Amino acid sequence: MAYLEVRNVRKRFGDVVALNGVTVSVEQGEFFTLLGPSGCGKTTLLRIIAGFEEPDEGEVSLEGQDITGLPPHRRDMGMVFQSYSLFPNMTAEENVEFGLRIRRRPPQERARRVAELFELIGLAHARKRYPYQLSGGEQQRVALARALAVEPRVLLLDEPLSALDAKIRVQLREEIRAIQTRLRITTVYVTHDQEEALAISDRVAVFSRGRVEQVGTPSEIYQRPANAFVAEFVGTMNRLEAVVRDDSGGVDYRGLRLKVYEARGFRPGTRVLLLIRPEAIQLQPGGTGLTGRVVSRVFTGATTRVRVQLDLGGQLVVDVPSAPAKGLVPGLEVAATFGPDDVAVLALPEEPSVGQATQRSPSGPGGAR
Amino acid sequence: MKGPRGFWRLVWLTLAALYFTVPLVATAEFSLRGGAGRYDLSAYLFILRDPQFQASFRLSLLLALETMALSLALLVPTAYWVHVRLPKVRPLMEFVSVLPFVVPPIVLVVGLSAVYRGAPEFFVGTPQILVAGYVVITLPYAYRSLEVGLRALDLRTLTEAAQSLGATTGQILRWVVVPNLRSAMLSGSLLILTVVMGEFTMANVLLFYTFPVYLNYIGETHATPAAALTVISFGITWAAMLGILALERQFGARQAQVGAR
Repeated sequence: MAYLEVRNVRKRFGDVVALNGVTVSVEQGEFFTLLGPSGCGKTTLLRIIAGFEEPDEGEVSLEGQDITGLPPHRRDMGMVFQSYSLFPNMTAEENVEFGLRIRRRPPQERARRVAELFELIGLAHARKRYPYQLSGGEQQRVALARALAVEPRVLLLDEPLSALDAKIRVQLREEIRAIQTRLRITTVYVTHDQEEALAISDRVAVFSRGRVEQVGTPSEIYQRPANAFVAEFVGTMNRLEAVVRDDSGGVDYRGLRLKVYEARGFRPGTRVLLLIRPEAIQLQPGGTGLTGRVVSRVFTGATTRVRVQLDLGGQLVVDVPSAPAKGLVPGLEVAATFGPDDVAVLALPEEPSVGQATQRSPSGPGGAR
Repeated sequence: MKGPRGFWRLVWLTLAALYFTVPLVATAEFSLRGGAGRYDLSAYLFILRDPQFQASFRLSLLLALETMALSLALLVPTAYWVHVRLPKVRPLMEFVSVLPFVVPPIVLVVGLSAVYRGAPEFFVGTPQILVAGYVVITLPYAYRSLEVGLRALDLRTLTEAAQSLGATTGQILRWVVVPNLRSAMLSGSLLILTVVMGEFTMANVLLFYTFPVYLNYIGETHATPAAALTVISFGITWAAMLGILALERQFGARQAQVGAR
């Protein structure tokens, strides 16, 4: 049995189903992220774990003990919130000390622990400041220290970085990960930012409409999405509809024969979706095969994002290192190639129905349509 | 301040200023008249030396303090609970809190007497019976002050943060809610003070000799000391109002900075 388990949890608010039968398990010391678009239920699940909401059905257990009905103040979980949540009437130091004071720890122990934590978050100089004298990033660091002070059994973070500037966000997420790794504290982290989720997690659960779509390591989620939603939500993905031709990985894209290793398990004749990351595709001027024309390119720094209109129909989004991308001017004829193991394959429903494309693919950037 | 618009602005401002200051200055001037065309402080000395003034003033002050204590003890937990747990009840609370404005004090007195009929005599005989009525008539002021204070805080998140750190509701009230509402509670208390120091109807009908009743008695019997007393009571009100303004400035400045980068 896992350290923290959520079994078959359902929760509705009025007519809105926030969680529709969710089961996840988190191992001790793991950094586990709940990822999904807003309204997918990830925050509701975190609040249920914290005890702020009660599930309509299902249960939550910690270390094998059912805690579903336990009030939040008896759960021994530390939480960091999205909005600034430091007590405005207390200094940074008093904030961090709060949980220890509630637990009636002796003064010397409290002082030692508080000093340790300020050392850990690198804010020893700001101990005597009030929240309004701290920057947003500093406030969230103090909030983290406050949650860690009581040595919680689980650390819960509800989009703690979303109110911060981009640069501080990246820096602070690395710090959070470093501290988590050092303390080996079981952590559940909520975010809608897929890059953030991939960067700091041991495992990620992707949520959509109150359900878990996939649970896996960041590279599993990124390279082998379990379904179209995950493929679309996590990063940019090119999608090509094809038909399996033989059992050695041959597929047919609008008359063009391609080699895709992952198609080997599928019965010939099956309609499949080929999923290819923009950075897995190479472009050469001229050539044969998957040919097309450059329609646009957007410089994003290290790489340039090139959009190619395929001669067979459909578009590809390709990330090219910026130096060679200089030659890829709009209008240029190119051929696209990719390795046979760089493609993920998903089976499509047997009988295509009208409007199936919209049903399958929640709109996202970069889909080859 | 150029052109006709500036001119009219000045005219209206002057008229408004005169409207407020003339009666005050006239009262103050009258209170200083010592007879035979001389000015002195005899009217003030008369008031301050009058044992009835001291007694009635002390009684009203005591009632004000008791009203503050009872009001805050009732309203702080209620307002907090409504804010955090029952936001749907908030419109109802707002409605209830302004009800005392539409019920005339005399009706309230009759109602109170009806309620207390059959209550033990020692209680009906003490001025403390007024406190219950005062809590009601000061409710709009006290509740509004607390509302403003509560609205400036993200109490839901603060409550949840405290809960996750192991705090019970009592501990949250004591360590988080009350300290952050201190300014709101003070300004509510000062409003209660000014209302109680000026409430005449209830005390008069229930036959208690409070400060406003004394003020009324002096007004009917001693002309100059009455003016002096008016100036004194006006001074009390103003001190309380300035106190609120000063507090709000301090409070507002701090609130604005919470969450700053």
